[in-house]
Amino acid sequence: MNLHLCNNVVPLDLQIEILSRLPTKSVARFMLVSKSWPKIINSKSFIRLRSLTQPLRFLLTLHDTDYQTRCINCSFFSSSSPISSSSTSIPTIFLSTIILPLHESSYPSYHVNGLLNIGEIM
Amino acid sequence: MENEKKMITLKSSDDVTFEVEEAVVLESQFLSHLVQDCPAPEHKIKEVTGKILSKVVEYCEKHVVVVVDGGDSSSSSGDDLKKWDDKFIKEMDLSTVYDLIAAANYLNIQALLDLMCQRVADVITACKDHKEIRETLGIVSDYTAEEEAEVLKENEWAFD
Repeated sequence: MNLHLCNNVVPLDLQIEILSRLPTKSVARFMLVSKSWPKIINSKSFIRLRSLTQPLRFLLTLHDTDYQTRCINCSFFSSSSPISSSSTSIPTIFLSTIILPLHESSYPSYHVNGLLNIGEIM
Repeated sequence: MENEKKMITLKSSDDVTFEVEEAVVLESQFLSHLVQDCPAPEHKIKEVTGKILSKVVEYCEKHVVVVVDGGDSSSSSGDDLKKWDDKFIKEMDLSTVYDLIAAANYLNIQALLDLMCQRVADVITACKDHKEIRETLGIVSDYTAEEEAEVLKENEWAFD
């Protein structure tokens, strides 16, 4: 075979197109293939394309403040299958619980492109 | 009304000719513009070889939607078409898939491009690790052992 994914015979935009179709875990695992792969995977156009081709998932967080132990328990849940607009219920799976120390001031939380900031952990 | 179908001849880079119906040519955005802009009976496609063009023609002939009276579509039903697509790609080696990706991109046939890109993605996903991908796709790693260990450490979560 004389055509490879990496030697620029397949143009970069098409390499991005191909790699954007990989499942998320595979993407992270395949960073090791060669140096050009993480370059593609970390590129803005890859992330943008992926947000278009991957099914929508939601992330749900439940906070529970325990004043006795002065902790906040954050439990994360995610939809276990792609969301369709026609269904009224969504199957959900439990991901994990993070325990944060309770602060006097409340935790600010932000989110961008699937990344979540739940405040400083001291 | 004249019912005879308009035929167009496509010629590959290595001078292999294919006579196809105009409707088949219209599956390609690039060719439909070409046919509209210069209505010649024969079009040479310098960028695509006969071997690959025959695959492109085969795909487009299968996928062409012929609109009959009442606007019904007489193309194969969705399931049949999908089965046909699966068979079409399974018979192909990876280097043909790459050539078809380049041809579909050049000729602007989105469905064929999607099908072929998905095929490569599926081949990659089926590999158990990065070493197998390198082997399958013929990629030579440019990582040093130290760099490789570092990337591995950063992405450890994905390897369980």
